Amino acid sequence: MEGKEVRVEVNPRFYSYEAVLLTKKVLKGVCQVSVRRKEDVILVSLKPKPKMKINLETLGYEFYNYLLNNVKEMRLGLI
Amino acid sequence: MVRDIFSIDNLEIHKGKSNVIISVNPKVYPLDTIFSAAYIFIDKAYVIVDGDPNEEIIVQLKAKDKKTDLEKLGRDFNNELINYSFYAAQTAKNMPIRTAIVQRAFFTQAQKEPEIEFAKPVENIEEIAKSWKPRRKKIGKSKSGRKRSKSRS
Repeated sequence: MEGKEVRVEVNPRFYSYEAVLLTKKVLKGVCQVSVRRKEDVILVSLKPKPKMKINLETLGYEFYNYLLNNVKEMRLGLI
Repeated sequence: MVRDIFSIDNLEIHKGKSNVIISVNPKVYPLDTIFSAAYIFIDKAYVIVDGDPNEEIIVQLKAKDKKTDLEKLGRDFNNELINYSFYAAQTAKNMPIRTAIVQRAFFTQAQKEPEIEFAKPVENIEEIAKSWKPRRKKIGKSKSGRKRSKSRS
């Protein structure tokens, strides 16, 4: 957590880049999401929109739960 | 003094952070099973999957409610792993039967429908071009020519 944003590191061995982008799309209404892809890690930074009162820690953890949901559905071929 | 961090079996419990770290052997439980089991806990906890998919998978469950029994949470996760492994094994076992049923269903649909024989078209239309008149019923007379009388029963 830094200032008013939370940075999340995602392991691409478990969570695909496509799933991360899909999660970004889901959370777009709540916060600004930027995704950067590096060799062995995907960096995601989440910055809540000005009028949103969101706990940054909770936002980071919620991102992981949404990501898990998307990964699971992608693996099952539902998305 | 109560210890803040302690390990039981494959669980590592951090009471202060209200999270439990579970180490899973990927050779025993495949990744799909781990994701399915983890998905069940989305309501109760925040789930993070990490580690090495070939060596050791680390699942971190951070309880949403601080009063949650962390050991029970971790052990429930282990149970769900077994539950989904069993389900996957049963699905694999029943796969040939399911395939056969589906194939049979498609085969039945693909079969040719029996051809319906229609009447041959009339070549000489004059043969049937006769004016149609309703048959008149002969009232009052029987075949023998006598008047019908009401039968008394």
